[in-house]
Amino acid sequence: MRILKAIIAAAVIAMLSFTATGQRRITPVENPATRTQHISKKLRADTLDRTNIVEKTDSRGNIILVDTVTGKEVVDSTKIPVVPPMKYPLVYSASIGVNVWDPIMRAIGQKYGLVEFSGEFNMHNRYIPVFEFGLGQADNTPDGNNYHYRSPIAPYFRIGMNYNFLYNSSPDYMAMAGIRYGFSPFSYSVEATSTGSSYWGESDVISIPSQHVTAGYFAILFNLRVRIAGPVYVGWAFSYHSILHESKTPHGNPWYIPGYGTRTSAISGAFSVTYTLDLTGRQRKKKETHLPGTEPIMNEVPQIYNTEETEIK
Amino acid sequence: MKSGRFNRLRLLPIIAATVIAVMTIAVESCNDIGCTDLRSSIPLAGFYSSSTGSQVTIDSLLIGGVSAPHDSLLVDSGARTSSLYLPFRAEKPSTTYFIKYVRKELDFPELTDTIKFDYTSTAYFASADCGAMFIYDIKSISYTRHLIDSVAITDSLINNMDMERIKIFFRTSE
Repeated sequence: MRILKAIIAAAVIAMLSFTATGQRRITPVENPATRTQHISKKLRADTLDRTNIVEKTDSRGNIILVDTVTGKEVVDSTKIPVVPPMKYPLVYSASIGVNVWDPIMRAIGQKYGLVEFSGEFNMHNRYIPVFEFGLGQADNTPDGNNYHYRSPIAPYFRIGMNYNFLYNSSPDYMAMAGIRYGFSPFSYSVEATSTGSSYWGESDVISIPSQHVTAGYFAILFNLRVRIAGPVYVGWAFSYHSILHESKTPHGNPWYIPGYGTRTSAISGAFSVTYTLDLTGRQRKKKETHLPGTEPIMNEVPQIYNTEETEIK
Repeated sequence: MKSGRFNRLRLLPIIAATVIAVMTIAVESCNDIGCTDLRSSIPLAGFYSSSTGSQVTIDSLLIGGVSAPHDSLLVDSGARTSSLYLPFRAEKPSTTYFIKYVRKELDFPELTDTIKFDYTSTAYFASADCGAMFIYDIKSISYTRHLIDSVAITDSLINNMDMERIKIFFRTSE
């Protein structure tokens, strides 16, 4: 009986002591979790029961989630496209470049074109206004034809803009579409012998004196550019162009338009080398100075420990 | 890392050359259309019946240029023709052709018809493929009317497009 009383007394003491301990632990405490509990409750109230959800699309193309029990309709915010923010600053970089397409092509037989230079201003690594200046010239006496076409050195100008699709990616790679308006004042002349009928036995000399022409055209282009070393990039471009206006002469249309190419060439190419100057006023991070694809995996080389056996004392 | 850059720079000329070659082939293939017209401006004349208005084929004709070298002919008597090219003299303001009928009942010098074309000529660069040539703007036509009923010009500008611009209507029997 004594033993039973002792056990009951011990049990009562233990229960009292646990109760006292518990009371200390549930003392109300104001913390961030408790402060937001009412929000969580509200959110729970707004939460749809996924088992009763059907989707429909409204006139604006939004996905609407409909609770078939309560009739509640909620726009599915996860399906709303998010416009990515600009990663690079407005004043990002400026570039100068040289288009060596025509010099290369002349080396392999092309009869026209000289050289072209360009200047660019890169905004957000996305919008890139472009100004291009070049010199064009043509001298062509084609085999199997009757004429010698000359167009002395003349300038041409183009203005336009590129749009970089990879604007939030590394600027080491650029995939751009662009538009241009170009114009050129130039002249041309032709000397030829007639290929008409020999019936009259007359050998006619055809001479078209220098004709002064101003031509304007537009171009749309697709351009790829890759950084090869430091601030130096190389780029390839395809462009489709069409003549917008040109001076009329009684002697026909010019074969070559500086900056445009030959009049039958709706498509032309470009191969450019570009030097880019960072305008953000900061040094490029060290990791950005590596060639694409050659970035180190670890920023720091781990310490190499002495692997020699140490003597255990 | 250096070897990666070195390999990339070694590959660059090869990549550039390949891209340029592909682009060149693409550009040239897209731009090469050739000469789809004539390489000179020679008017094409068609023969028509004045009674029916339809094109006719005529034989027993001699057609040549007045003052042509060696009295050369464009159409000889044995030929049957419904049209022919009439080349103009580029350095002259006019060209005259004669049409002599050699069928027995018509073979008289006084029945020979002549057609004279007055025009201006202009040096013209047609295209890189078709070359340079003269084009002509016909100002007037004069002709005799022995067996020719009339001559019509559908387009006074004669360039290297291969199309009929002169219609000669003959008096033909049904």
